[in-house]
Amino acid sequence: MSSVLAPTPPGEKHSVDRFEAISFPEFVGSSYGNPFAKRGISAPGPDEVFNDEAPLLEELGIDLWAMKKKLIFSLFPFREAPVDIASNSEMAFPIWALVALSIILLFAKKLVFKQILATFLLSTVALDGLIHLMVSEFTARNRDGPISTEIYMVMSAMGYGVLPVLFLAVSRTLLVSFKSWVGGALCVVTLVWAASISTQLLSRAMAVPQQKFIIAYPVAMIHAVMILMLV
Amino acid sequence: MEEALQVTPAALSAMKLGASHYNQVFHDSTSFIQRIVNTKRLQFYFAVTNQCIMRKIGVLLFPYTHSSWKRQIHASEASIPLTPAEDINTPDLYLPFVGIATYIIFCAMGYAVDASYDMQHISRPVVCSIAVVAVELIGFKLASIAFGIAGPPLLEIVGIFGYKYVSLCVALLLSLIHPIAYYMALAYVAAAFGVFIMRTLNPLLIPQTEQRRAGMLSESGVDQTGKALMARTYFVFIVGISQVAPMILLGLFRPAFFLLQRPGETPVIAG
Repeated sequence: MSSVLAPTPPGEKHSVDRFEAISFPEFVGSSYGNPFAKRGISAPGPDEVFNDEAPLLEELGIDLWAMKKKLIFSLFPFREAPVDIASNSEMAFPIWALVALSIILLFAKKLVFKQILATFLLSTVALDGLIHLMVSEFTARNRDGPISTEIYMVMSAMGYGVLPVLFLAVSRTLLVSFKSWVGGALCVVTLVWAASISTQLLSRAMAVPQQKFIIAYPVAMIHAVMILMLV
Repeated sequence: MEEALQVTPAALSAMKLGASHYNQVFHDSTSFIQRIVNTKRLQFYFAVTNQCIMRKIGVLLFPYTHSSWKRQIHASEASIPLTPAEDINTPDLYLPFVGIATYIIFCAMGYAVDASYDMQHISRPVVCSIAVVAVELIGFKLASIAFGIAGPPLLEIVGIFGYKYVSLCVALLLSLIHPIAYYMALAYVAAAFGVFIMRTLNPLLIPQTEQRRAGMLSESGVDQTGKALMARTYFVFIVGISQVAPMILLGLFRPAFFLLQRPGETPVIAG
């Protein structure tokens, strides 16, 4: 079987198109013997190599428009989230926000990478289990709407709640001491803000209006634990 | 998910694969987790709403305001059980679960604010609460067998005895103000929870002899001989009184810091 690094058989022209070789469907249908060969195309110049490829952000799966819509919603989460924003499982911002939070806390001489990522992961999995238990056919008698809850949707909703915690971390390291009452008030405001973001995103995607506050309480507890890590 | 993202098939299929694998392990009815844990029964006890939880907390803290403690039957068919959202006397599992989590976080939170991180502030309440739940479950099952009383199903026992964590959290909130406030709140809350558990267990425990005589699960209090009634009453009373001990034990893990502390006053060690 030909390997990716096989030398070109003599007489055959090839194009060094690494992206096309790695994506699976093209690899299976490649020409005989040489995974790099494109049918009938001679060795390209620098412009032609990148013609048929998707832009980098699309390949990475980062959807900037969805991220922008969700971020604008996060700034004022006190209205109902539209269904397309809430059911969108955009994971790039949560991952970036968690890492950025850990890096900002390095300025405060706290090494919390492991704690923050582990807390986020485990508590989101637990919250997904709780939501799956609460939204079942037994609540169908009180509810109308779609059921599907995906783990990535829950992670995305919780991850966009990290945005206020980022602001709090910046103000903790640069501006305010948390022992005073200003710091305490800031913590409370951040907690309420973060919990509202995550709750609005979760409740809309699950369409259970009678269960909004009983999902808000575990969500608020999870964000409170993450805020306590940076105090 | 698909209509918002315009990604390559490779990235999209990886994400879908991850989500579907997670669903298959945790949420499908054929996975091994579903074989161990009966998810449908659990989902029955988690079918709660906002109002139901609020009313339940009210009944927990002020049980003298609640009048009818009997479990209700479905209007048309007698074999369909009513969810906690429809019948307030059905025990649910959401409130105990969240109560235990709140209790653990509260015990750990006081030390976090003081910037002293020690794993045992988290692990000790966790182990203690799991032990209390297990001991109460086993003890109640054994005692109900010894007394010849048919008790409620397992998950309902966990639910009924798990409500104490909610009352305990209310008392712990008051412990932030002053230590004396905590002891007063603990006394009131222990009494209230004792009354609650006595009145909840009363309709649920029917002596097995009566069950066999009636042929099926009958209405409580209809045909009870004197001895069976006395055994049941003593049993319920002992269960209610003995709830004070776990509450005191669990309260030992609370942090020792007070908000309204006079300057220069050293904090009392918790206990």
